[in-house]
Amino acid sequence: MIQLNNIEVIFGKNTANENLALKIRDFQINSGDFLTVIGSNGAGKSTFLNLISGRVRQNSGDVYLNGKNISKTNETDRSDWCARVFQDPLTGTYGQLTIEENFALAMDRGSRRNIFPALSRERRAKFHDLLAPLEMNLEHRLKERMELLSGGQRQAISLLMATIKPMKILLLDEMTAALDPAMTNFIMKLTSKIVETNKLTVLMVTHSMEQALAYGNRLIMMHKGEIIIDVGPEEKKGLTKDRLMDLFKQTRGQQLDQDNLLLSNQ
Amino acid sequence: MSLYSILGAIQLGFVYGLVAIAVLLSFRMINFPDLSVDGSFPLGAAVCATMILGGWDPWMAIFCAMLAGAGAGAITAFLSENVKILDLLSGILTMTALYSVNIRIMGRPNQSLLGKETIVTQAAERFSISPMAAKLSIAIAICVTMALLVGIFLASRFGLSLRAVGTNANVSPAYGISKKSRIYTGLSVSNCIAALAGAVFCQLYGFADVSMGVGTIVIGLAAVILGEAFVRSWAPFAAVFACVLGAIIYRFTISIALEGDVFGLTTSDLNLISSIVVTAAFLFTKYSRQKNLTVKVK
Ligand SMILES: Nc1ncnc2c1ncn2[C@@H]1O[C@H](COP(=O)(O)OP(=O)(O)OP(=O)(O)O)[C@@H](O)[C@H]1O
Ligand SMILES: [Mg+2]
Repeated sequence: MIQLNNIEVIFGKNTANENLALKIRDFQINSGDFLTVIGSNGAGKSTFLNLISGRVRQNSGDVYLNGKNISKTNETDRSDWCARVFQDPLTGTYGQLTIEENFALAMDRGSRRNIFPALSRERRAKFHDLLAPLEMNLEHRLKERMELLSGGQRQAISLLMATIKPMKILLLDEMTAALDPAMTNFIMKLTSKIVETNKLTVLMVTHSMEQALAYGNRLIMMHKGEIIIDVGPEEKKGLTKDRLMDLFKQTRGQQLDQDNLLLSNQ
Repeated sequence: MSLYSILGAIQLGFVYGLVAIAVLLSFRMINFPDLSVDGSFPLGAAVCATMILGGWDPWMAIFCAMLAGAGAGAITAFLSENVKILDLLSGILTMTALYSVNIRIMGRPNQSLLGKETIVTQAAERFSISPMAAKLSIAIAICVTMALLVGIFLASRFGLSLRAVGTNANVSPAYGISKKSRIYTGLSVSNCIAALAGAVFCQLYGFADVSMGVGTIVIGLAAVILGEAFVRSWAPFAAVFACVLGAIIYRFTISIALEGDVFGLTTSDLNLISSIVVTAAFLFTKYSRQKNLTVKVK
């Protein structure tokens, strides 16, 4: 569904801090994939998500959606098929707007924003029904401002907001990083439920090895802007932490060998 | 305080209520500290006066004044969003340029509408009322209509996206909301309303003067902050009507201060008072822990 060709993202090009943040030769995300993305800080995971959402523009290479070249479109253009939950619960939603206003903004993703009232009785009823199953008592607080909620409550709402309208891909960037274990568990369960019922295509960045192994049918590891490990559905089923570490060491070893090879050739 | 001056304060309060709505849109709704209002208020007056003197229908003159104001707002948006000039400076550039433009439009620094047909004379004739009653009802009617329209606009799907950009421009593209288009719309509508205020002012008081805009922004801001002190709500209708209320209260306080001869104040001290009121409001909000009152000027 999404195809990346010879992508390079370079921050601060032609300056002293030039930084090759992303380098992807050839990569494909298929419809229905649930990819987990791991890698150390600064590995380029967020940049990878930003590239797909259009927040970051590649310096070279092309992005295709269902065979159509969308390299030149921006984040606003792509919002009708790309939904996202941000890492930080505080900045990922509209803190000064009410819960129902946040939902209304999400409802209009992908459609024309016209002069019809943003909030109607039907919409409120829908928001109420979406929130009730969370059992956080949020369905009675629709008129409260978002910033009054806890981080976990805000992330739960972010997730509902991102998935309230149909999309082709859902991007989750370390969305449980700021949450306690119980809340993390809750949000991840909610995510699985939503993903399964709507058969979504998902790209989930996480720092938790457990999460990366427990969820999804495909796992990639990033390192210094490159995708160094790509584990497919068959292999992923039996994947363990140790096996993953082995794989990591192997690829690093290979890189070392290649470097040695280059050196010996000279 | 005589009935005459009470009515006068209410009338002027409603005219500045329009300015307050304009400032609410820019400073609060799209979070853009737009100073071009100081230029678009006299721009509205200049366009309106010139057209009336040229024999045009006074309502047509108001309409064109609003168009001119919207254009001025779009220029500020262009400077900030396309040329990437700092928001404050963008507004100052437009405001400064408009000073010259306004003199060009009128051909001189001021114009008088004495004896010309205006919306006041039209209304007085049509409804057989005194010019004084006509002025007051016009000010109220136009301001309330505008407040309703802006309230409906802000409560709409598009209006909500405008407020969204004002509170968190960073996530907005992910929901398909382009900051640039919202800044253009917000500033155009805001300056359009400021020009409407100038046009109405010029017809009610019978003159246009190039320096009449000095301090408009501060009066508008004072009205917005006063309104927020009374009505603590972000709901669109409440916010709009609160700032109109703020403008009326503000004009009232000013006329009492002027009439009562407090500290020997005169009309020319108005801008000083406005600035002090706004500063006091900032200090007040800084020390009151009411989050609702947080003044978010960058
Ligand atoms: N907007 C930007 N401008 C300049 N450099 C950036 C920008 N965004 C990211 N980078 C750089 O690109 C590299 C990759 O960053 P990225 O945020 O993608 O890492 P990450 O894998 O998401 O890390 P983390 O786990 O800490 O979130 C880093 O070296 C970072 O400093
Ligand atoms: Mg990151």
